[in-house]
Amino acid sequence: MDEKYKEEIEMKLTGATWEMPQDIGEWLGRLLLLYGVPFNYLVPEEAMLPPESIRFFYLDPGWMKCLLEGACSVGKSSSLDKLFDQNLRNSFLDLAGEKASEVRAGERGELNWPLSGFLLRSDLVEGWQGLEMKASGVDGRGNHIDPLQALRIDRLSPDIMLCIFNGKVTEIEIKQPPEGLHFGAAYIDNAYHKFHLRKLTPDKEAGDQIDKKFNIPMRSGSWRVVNVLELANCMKEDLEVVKAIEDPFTSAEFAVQMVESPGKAIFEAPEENQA
Amino acid sequence: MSDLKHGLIKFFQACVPPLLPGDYTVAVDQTVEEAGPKSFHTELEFSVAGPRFSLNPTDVYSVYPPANQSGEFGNTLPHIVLARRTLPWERNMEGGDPDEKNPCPWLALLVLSPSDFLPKAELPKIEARKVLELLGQGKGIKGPDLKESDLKQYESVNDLCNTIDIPRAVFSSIVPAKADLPYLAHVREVHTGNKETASLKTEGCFSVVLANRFPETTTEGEASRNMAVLVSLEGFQKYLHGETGTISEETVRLSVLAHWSFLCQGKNTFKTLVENLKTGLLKLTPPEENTNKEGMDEVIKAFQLGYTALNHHIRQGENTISWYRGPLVPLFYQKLDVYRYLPCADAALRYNYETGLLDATYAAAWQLGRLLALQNPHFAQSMYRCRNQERQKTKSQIQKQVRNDRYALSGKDMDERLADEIGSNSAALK
Repeated sequence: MDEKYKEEIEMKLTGATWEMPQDIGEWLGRLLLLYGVPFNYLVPEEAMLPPESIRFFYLDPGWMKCLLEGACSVGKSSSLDKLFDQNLRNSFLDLAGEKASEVRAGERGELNWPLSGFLLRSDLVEGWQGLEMKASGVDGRGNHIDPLQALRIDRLSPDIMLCIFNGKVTEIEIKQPPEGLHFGAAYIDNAYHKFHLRKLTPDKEAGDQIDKKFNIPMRSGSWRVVNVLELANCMKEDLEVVKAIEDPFTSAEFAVQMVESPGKAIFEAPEENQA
Repeated sequence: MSDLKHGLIKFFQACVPPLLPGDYTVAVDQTVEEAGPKSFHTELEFSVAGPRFSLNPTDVYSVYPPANQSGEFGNTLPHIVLARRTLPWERNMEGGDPDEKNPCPWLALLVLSPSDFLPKAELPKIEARKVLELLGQGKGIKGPDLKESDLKQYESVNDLCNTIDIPRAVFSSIVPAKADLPYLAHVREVHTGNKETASLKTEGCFSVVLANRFPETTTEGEASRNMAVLVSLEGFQKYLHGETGTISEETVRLSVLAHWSFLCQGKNTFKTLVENLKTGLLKLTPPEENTNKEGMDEVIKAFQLGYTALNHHIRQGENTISWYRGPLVPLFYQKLDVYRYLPCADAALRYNYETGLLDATYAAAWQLGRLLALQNPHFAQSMYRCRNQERQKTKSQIQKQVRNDRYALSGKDMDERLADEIGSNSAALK
């Protein structure tokens, strides 16, 4: 039989109807999200990710294709395998991608290439367990999406966090975990400060912040003890000036003022280089 | 109280219980006219027990900073959330009934730091003692101004309670003033809805006691261990900060209703850390010096694209430097519809004739993929099994297709082909 003709049909048939088995797909899906990839493959030089930095990135689909192709190359034995691989090579990413979006969400989805994300290296990661990462951006067709689906949010080491999102990240929001609701003040230049007061009345505006910087009055001596009565009186007077209080100032009002709301910060992704 | 929206928190000044702890008598008199008249009388004694020297551990709902956790808590005022919403106002530290109009807690949350206990800088131990030892006060120890006769029926001098001994000077310096106390406890009503917010997980009312002192923290070296103790101030009303009473003993003994410790390190707050973060793309910055050096343009260009130069031991045994870039790149590459087939890692090595350097990026990726797959026996076996099946399927399909195509070339239609098949089969049978 004509060799060329034979190859033609072979090409047409091999792997064309391949259904990726569940376990293979799941593993490849996780691999696509770089699970198991050693850190020095991700960041080969420390200078790329200095301490206290956020570094944005895109996922290189070419790299991922090679990684998956290498993984799928195990168990190759005959020339027919080559055909199977050739046919598969363009669908690796899609097949693994379907599974990748399942890793976190638990339901099948589609990947919106380009995938992107950021690495965060900071004491923040170590000091605040359960940081919340939210990203907004655009999908492959240029539609604005808020929030982008998080494909992976993981701590790679005590102070390094890797986040990958389904789409192009333009802005991220890092939030302190809400369970961190607590009482306190800001500590700057060896003194404790408050920067805001919260309105208590009228009802509509209750909770709104008023910019008002003041020092926390401390008891004399270096005991770090707050002079609570003086602090309460201070707050009360300031609130009365702006007519943001009607009821007496009690422990409830004091608590509202002393709550440190979970911190939050927004970062914009820098413009990428031209490929 | 129940019209709170999901995720909201409502604060109340205090919650004084309608029936205070103590001994009560219910007396009933009834006169029956028909019987003479005759009057009947009955009494029932009961006690409302409330925590006084110790607390059931389940009454503590949560604490902040979390127990035994290490973190930058130097700027927080520790607090304890109690499951009993009335607890801080159930007693009056001066004895008698709590004042409903001006509620004042009988509990205080004290923060103790190592530097309070110089020169040893060791935090005092919490010890279980009998109430007798708390009231009886050993030599040189000042306990609460309470007598055995102040105990209620349901309380005994032999009950155990947790106690702590701290130096007089420390106590007087950190204990809240009488006027401070009313501000240091409140009630919090939470309706969390479906949203999980760990420490506020359950709905309902909780009482909260706030400390009046910031914990000690360190910027370098080992973290500083602070201890928070919830103590009863009953019987100490004369010795609060700014009061006239003086303690002549060296040590003050307090009953501890709850305690935990946490580690404080660093003075960075979430805000300062966040503000100091440097954003950028994941790539190297080119060296500023030697920019005139030969080949520098190439280096700058490569760095811009996210490349790094790494040592490369090539197959022939030589050592060279090759370009490498990870999967995380500073620029956007389109996903292609068709990729080149790579049978092995070396097929992905790229050689630049102009610079004489290799780009090992994709070869490294390919090889890593293979190694990771081999590392996972389950995946490797699955893949092998799968390939076998596919090989069988392909073989049989190819045979079928070749047969069909032979007929297709002959120009006959389906029915004729079938007839041929049957004909040849029956011929074979004969």
